Amino acid sequence: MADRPTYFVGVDVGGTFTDLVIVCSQTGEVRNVKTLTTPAEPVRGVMNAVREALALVGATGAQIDRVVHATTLPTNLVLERKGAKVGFVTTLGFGDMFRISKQKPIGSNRYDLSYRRPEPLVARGMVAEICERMDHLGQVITPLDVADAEARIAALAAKGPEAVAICLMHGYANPDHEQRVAEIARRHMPGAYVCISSDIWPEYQEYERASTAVLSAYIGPTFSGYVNELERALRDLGYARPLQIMQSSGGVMTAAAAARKAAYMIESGPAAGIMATAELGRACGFDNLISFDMGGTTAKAGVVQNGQPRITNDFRVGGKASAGGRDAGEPIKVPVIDLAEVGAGGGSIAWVDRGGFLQLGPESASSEPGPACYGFGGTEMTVTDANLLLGYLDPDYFLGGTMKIHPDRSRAAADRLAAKLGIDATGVARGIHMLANTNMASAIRIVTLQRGIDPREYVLTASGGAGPLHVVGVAEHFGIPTVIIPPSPGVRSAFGLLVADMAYDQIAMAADVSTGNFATLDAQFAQLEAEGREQLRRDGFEEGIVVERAVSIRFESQVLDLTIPIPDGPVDAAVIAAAEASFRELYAATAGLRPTDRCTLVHCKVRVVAHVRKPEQAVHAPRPGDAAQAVKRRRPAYFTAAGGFVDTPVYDRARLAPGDAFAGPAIVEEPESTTICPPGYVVEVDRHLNLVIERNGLDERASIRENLVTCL
Amino acid sequence: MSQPTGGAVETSRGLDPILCEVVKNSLMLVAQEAGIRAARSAGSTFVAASAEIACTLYDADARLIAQTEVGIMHSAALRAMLQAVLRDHPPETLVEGDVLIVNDPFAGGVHPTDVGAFRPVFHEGRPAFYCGLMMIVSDLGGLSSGGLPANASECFHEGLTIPPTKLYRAGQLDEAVTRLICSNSRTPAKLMSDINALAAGGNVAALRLAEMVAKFGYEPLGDMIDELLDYSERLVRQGFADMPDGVYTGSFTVENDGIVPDRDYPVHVRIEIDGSECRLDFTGSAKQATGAINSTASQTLSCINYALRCHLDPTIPMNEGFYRPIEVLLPPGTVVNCSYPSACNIRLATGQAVIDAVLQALSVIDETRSMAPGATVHTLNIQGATPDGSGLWSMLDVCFGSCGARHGEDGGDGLPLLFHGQAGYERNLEGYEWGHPVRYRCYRLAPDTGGPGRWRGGAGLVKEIEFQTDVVITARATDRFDRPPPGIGGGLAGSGAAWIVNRGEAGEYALPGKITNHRLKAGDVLTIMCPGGGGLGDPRERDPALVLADVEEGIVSVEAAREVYRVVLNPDRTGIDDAATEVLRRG
Repeated sequence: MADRPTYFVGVDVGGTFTDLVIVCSQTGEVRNVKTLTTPAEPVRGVMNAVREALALVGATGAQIDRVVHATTLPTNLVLERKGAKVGFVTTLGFGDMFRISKQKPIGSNRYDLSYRRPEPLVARGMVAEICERMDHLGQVITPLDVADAEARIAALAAKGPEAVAICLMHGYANPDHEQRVAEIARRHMPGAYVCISSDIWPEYQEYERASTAVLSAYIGPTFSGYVNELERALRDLGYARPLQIMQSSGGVMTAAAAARKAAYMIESGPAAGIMATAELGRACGFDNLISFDMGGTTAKAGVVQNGQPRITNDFRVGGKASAGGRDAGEPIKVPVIDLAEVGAGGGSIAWVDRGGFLQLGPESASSEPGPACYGFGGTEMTVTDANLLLGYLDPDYFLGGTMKIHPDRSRAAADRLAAKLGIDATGVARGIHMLANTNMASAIRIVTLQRGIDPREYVLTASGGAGPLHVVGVAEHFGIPTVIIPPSPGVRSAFGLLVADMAYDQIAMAADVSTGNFATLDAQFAQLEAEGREQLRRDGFEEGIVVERAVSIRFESQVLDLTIPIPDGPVDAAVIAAAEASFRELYAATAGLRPTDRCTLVHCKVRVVAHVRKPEQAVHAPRPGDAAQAVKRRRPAYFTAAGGFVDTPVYDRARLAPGDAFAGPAIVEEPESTTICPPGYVVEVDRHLNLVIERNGLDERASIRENLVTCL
Repeated sequence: MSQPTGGAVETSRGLDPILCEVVKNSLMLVAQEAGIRAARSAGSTFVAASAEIACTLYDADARLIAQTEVGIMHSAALRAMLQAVLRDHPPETLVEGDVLIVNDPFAGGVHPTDVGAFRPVFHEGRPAFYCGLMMIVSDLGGLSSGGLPANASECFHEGLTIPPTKLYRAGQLDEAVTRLICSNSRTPAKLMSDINALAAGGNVAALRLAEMVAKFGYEPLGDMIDELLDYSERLVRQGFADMPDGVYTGSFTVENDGIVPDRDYPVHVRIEIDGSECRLDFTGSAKQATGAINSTASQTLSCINYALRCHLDPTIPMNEGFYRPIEVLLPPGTVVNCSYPSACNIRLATGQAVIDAVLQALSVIDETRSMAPGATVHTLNIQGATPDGSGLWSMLDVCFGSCGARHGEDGGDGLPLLFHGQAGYERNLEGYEWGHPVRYRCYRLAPDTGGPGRWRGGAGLVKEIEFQTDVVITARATDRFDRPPPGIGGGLAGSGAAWIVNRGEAGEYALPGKITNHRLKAGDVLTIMCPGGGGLGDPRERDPALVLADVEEGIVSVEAAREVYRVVLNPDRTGIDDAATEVLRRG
């Protein structure tokens, strides 16, 4: 066995496609597999891809060293309301929480007099209120009335819940009542999936904590069944180690742990994408990057800051994506990469509104019937049709030439819009491409400007089938100087799975240190660390463990808290004073103001990480490049800066080598993606075979900024 | 989204319609970014918790060219304030880096705690654009903390009035103005954070607008802005043209002003749809009140805009073109256009009456957009000494109640009036208990409080707070406390509201809807009951299955099911006695 090569496998199951990357641990050779997702039998789709990959490299399951998995299954359960029948147990007086609801109308919904909030995940009547009460310090105000609890939970059990979520007032401060109620629930409902709020995420704010527990219960039974079945199927194939699952935070946990903490996996696919971007940054020497992913129906943006993905504890699941905001959807408190999504992609449909302006989306042609050029019966003009008419896509090389498309149908669709607008078809196509760029920009705006980040200080990376077509236009919108397109941008998320470490996040409400007593706080950190180490030990990791600790701090007068890392060693007055100073700096940098208010500690946060062996990134020595040899043909393509269609070289990405450089206008093709480089930009191929696109010359906007008088 | 019906639509000046759409989106992004920047920097908890505040942009002629979706409540005020600003400070007196602030309710404002800030943006030495932002600031004095006294009878009781005033001159903060306003605030540091946050938003807008001028050119940008205003006008005109010509009337009566007993304040509107134009005449509305329920003209206009947009396409950009086909008559000295120096911090009593009156009138045109009146916002300000006696604590709890029934849709239990864009569980109770010596005993939907109807009004809400120290409370029910939200089209009223001390115990007593600085002792429990919305349609026509579901959940009692909805349940309450129900409903 020892002399046979071993492999790392990353599998990312998306809505339409399952992407797999298999990397040889000895040679670093990377192979990709793309298969259709099988929503009805999710395990079968994953196993098809794994078998295909093994056949591709001529290996058996026993040669796989590590399998890391991401899936949209939990999100789909929520979006399609196909999760478990959940019973909710809470403190007497608060059982109407999800009926009163945190869902609210945003944007034009505020004018929609028939607006209806999404149905709660807890159905009407599936609630038990328990007589008990704690205060915020975890002291018992009303003892748990066990007889009452037994009776009420028995009544709930009679309604047949498949899962139970327990969240009692201030349960985070003292889990005793929640644990005792859970015992009663398990006794009355032996088959049910039970989760308690103090286990999932012990933080104050009852609505979000309860919602996190409910979401876990809602997706838990199906998700745990799925990962258990998948792990068995892999074992049958000869893979002997634990299956690993990507969390929404960019860390990985074992399938066994994931089955108990389902809410942590809700955005596993996008998290893998951000991890790939972070890895790209590490390899190329960039700490701050924006990740931009655009597919057929949605576009997503996330941020890597100081080498780490930006994390939020205020994520909402299944919210309205068009605004990319977080005001809609089910709130969860567990860490999720800070992600903005807009419902716009290659399939977005263009139309003329009653006022005579061109609009794009939110309706999408999706894959059925698809853009007009697919010839599947779609007649509406989409972004993909526009890109085809502008010469950005090659009708004879769509999906690497495997799919026949019809420019004449795009032309007919464009002509119809052109007649309404009184301009020509090219003008329509150019306008649609431009509007698509503006839509994409709004996703990036949310994760940067709205968070106090200046996108011009960041490198922009593109992935997904359509990302590289639009990314330079999006960069121009903000004045971002550098764009990077990694190799195989269509399967980047799957690669990201293999560069993530095992990680467990722990949280506690910070003890009061205003009296000068730091011992309790120090003990809290020690306990959180011990719990995380214990989990990793159960997973088989005892070496190479790194503990990251942080406090979150806010001004006494404000609600917004910021997370500040703290060093190893005892947590004392000096450590907290230094953290407070960092907090004030960070606040000033993001809000532009320096309040003099007192600060207060909110949370203790501990992340326990086990570093795992990752595939080596292949490095290619630069060679005196002659990019011209990679030009496979030329075709006319439209560029505003060039004043119209210009004869543009088309490069075959497979033939480009490190050190190759060329100026726009240029098109770079690879099987599942096309990169557009407009005039005024230059492309260079780096030693990792990334395309690095930079502006040729200065951005005039710098001088505008200098001439302006700034108040404050 | 409505797809075009076909045929060529022309832009009025032969401009590239695509560039116009890009300019439209770009202006909105500028306004949003400025609003976000300002909210992020705010000192007051209430604002910092929101993601964005109201921001507006204007061209050199002070015409509104863009406005964010947030701050619906402030939508018309900034536009009116800019007129007052330029009257006092003509464009030729402004220089790059100036910021002007104003809160005068009688110079376009709404009440003194809502402060507007304006930043001129220069091109070739002249103001080419203005950015206006508005925020509710932490405190500017007045009878009670936060500028919300329930017993105010003049604007002087509600805080310091600031006429249009330069706060920044060429980028330099005016120290004299700063000292003056800070010495009139209970929370000067937070106040300056708030006001400087407005300036920070102005910086962003100035930069981004200058970038747009560089990108498009000043003249072409101006042409596209002209086109953008015409575009909104076209869409509004099309909306009115789609409505049948005629005169439609509506009214709603505000219950009392908290000072003068037994007087109420009707709001009347007469809406005339004439081709592509709309006239709204509020003649006949009550004379202005002694108490603070009055609405300034700009506040009333914001509420009219909201109600009209419920019947137009709500995505029509808010700009000068939106206003062109609309004529509004607000007689001075009435509750809908109060005169100096009336008090107006409880202005949403009248504002919401305006919304309900306009919606009632327009529901004749489109029955599917009917909505019965719902609850108004109730605020509770609590102050007390800390348990160890070393200092003071204060907190603000807000309860919105539920909205009225809609055509084909119940009111939404715990869903506030959509105008507010709020959720029933917006604020966590554990958070209040962390910061303050209070304990919540419950927060739940109350039975038999949603107005019965074929479509039921949203259920009312009950919250109980136990105080652990002696406290002083200011309770401020905006409206619909004694006179509950009525039903429409045969629907019945929702429940009214109540503030009850020590309910169910010896010494229980009720407070009036508007009360300032009332003392309670440690251990007292205050029960807050917020109104349920009115019902729509005859309750006897409600689907019995929906009645059963409401009974199962405790929102409707078995008795109300029988007496009001005429639905008879099985003895075990798990099903409907169809035969008995039919007999009861027929009789």
